[in-house]
Amino acid sequence: MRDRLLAAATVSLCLGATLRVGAPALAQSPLNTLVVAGPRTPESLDQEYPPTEATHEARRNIYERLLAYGMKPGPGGISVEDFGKIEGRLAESYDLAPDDTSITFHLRHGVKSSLGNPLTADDVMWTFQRGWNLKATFHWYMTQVLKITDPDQAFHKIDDYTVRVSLPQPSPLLARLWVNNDLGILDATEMKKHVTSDDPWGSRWLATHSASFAPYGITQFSPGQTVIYQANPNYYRGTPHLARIVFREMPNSSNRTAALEAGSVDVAEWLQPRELNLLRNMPGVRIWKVFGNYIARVEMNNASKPFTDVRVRQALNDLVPRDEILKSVFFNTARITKSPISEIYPGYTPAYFNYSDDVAKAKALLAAAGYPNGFKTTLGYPTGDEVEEEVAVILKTAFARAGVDVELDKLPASTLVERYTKGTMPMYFFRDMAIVPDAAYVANLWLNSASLIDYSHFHDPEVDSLINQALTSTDETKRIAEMTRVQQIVMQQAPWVFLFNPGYQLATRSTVHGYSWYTPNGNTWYDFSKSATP
Amino acid sequence: MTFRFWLRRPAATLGAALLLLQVIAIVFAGMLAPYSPTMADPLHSLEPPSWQHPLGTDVSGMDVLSRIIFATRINLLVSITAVAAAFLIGVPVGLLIGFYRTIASTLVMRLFDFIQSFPVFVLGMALVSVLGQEIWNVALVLAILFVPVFARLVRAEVLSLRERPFISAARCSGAGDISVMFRHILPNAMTPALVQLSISIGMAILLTAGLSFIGAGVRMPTPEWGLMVSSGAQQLILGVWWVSLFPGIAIVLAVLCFALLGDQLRIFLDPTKRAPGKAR
Repeated sequence: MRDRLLAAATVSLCLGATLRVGAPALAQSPLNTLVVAGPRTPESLDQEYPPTEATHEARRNIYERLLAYGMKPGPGGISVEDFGKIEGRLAESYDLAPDDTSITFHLRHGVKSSLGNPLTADDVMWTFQRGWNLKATFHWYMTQVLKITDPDQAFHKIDDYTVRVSLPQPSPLLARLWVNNDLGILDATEMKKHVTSDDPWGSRWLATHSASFAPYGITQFSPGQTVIYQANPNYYRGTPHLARIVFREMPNSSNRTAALEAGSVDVAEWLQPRELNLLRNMPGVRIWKVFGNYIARVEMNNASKPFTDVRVRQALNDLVPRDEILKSVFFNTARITKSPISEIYPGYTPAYFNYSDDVAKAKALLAAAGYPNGFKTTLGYPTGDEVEEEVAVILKTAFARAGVDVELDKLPASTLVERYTKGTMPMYFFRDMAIVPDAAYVANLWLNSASLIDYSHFHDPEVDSLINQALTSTDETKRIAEMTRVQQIVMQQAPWVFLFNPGYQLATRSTVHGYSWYTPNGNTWYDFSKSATP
Repeated sequence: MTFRFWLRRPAATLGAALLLLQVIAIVFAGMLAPYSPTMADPLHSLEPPSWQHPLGTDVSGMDVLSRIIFATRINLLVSITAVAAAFLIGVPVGLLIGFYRTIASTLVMRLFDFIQSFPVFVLGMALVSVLGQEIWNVALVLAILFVPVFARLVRAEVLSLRERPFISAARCSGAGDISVMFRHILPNAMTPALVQLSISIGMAILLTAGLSFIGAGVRMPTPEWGLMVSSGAQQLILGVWWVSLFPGIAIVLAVLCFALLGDQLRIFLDPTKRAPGKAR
């Protein structure tokens, strides 16, 4: 009898637990805590680590910059950056030399880091020295974009609250660059406690800790599991609405969708368009949508056959059923990419996009290029990206209409990157965004043959020359004209198969407010707040 | 074999019927499948089962029924080829290392120990990643995994048989090693290996599907059951059940088929399990 009772109780408990799973659980986190589910924790907290989507987000929240763009209302009630308005952050103000060869930062007084140390020019100078000596992100910006060659000539402490950066030649990006969230200022007082003889810039410590003047500091960093952001009580723009951000790694997007649906997380990042489409009409959930700066494309290795022939590259662009993909994969939430420049950046023009789903034209181009029966090639895409896999399968079918036999090669992201950087992958998916809203900066990243990330090996002397001119010219009208010409050449040369701007979409509970969009696409927790009711 | 024979053996009947279905699917896939198994049709993505698509469509708009039919070719051919290769290598090796107890035999056994000390799935993943994600590499990996299974079974039988009086009698009558091994020991040592053959095909089907499920098997858009289950798993939360469910059922039925046949084969070959006069 006792055994039967025990069995009945066990069954009841199991049944109860099962039914409980089906019922939506309400968010358990308090109003000052935001629980976020994302695909991965940042690889490192050091801003000198190569940028990824996860590190960009961490940097926005734990590093404070010298300057920022002003904000303006955007579509759907979302604030977006006003690229025409640069405001002071740690630098209360700045002076730009009339010839754009130097910028002087006047630091804000009374600013304290999350560890309680005051900001002075020494913090800025130490950060610059560290960045220059580590020869990573900061060094790249200074040498490749601002063309600085001698740090002693470039970085000057004028007084305890004034710092000047001088360039050997003018740069139109001299002010705009300091908005980037990988050029944050470190709390040098704290950093110096963690330097050692074999690690003179505290890189080991900073990989897992934070020390800046930002709205948040990191109190727990468990790679692959959790990151806990704690509000900086000394933050100079006012204490953040949310005292704690708990970021949980959930690699599978369907798990993040389920967690948001059940209310066990407040925010679910990087969901698939199909999942977002499901959540769109769900009570208690809100989807924030911005057509940001992403450019998704298939890059071809322009230096290897058959992609050395422009007609082959054009033919593949004419074989993409863009409208079908937009509808079936993106649920009409993406836009067709019609230029190598992000559509929201000054200088963008869609005027030279001349590709449509035209099989006859593609076949004629291939025949003229010497491939009347098509050819065989490989298209690489990373594991874990369902959207790219869906598009890859559609492209395989679409390209087959002209005899182009595409083998799909699904690879771990690191292997795929290794292959296309070495030039051994003929075609591969590439989704990227440039965080400086400047057409010349964008073109320089991807299309200048001297760029390290011109992975498609595109080379056009006129494009190179126009980009280099625009990077040093301060005549904005002339720069725009140069970039218009670049877009005309690139769209005709078709170094990539132009696909989509998928935009950035964020799913939150409807009790979460304040999402704003910035060029790195990560979330800025300082803007967020939470209420008891929607 | 009469109708009464099959009626008395429902398990064998079911196994044989399932095998027949699979053979038909393999041979007549092109005629049976209503659509191409690899052509995407994005405008008909994730359609539920209907008259046009009896088992629905997947995320790329490909017909699930057509893909299941064509996948039978890949799943079964890979599994049967791999297990047959393992059988053809494992049985002679097991015979030799059981018959000759030398240092070489011991080394071969240690090699088998090494292979079998890894979880089958983990070793399969590692081997596929080294050899490359090609369909016949998956078959090769499966063969490598199954060789020790057959070799061990045969060796165990040989070790027992070689000490039996009838072997001594054969020796006394002048039989050499080759004759003893192949005429007297091998026919008596084959039963467990033959039964294992069918069970291993079932396991190989599961492994092929499992490797594809985790992305270590064949590539998209190759029609393969495990890959189909995997591609549909992400959609389950959206209420799209048909993409994963039907290939899942196909895997279950294929494995069940070979498990039933293996069981019947075991009864058939074991004189202690079959009633006199009813085995044939």
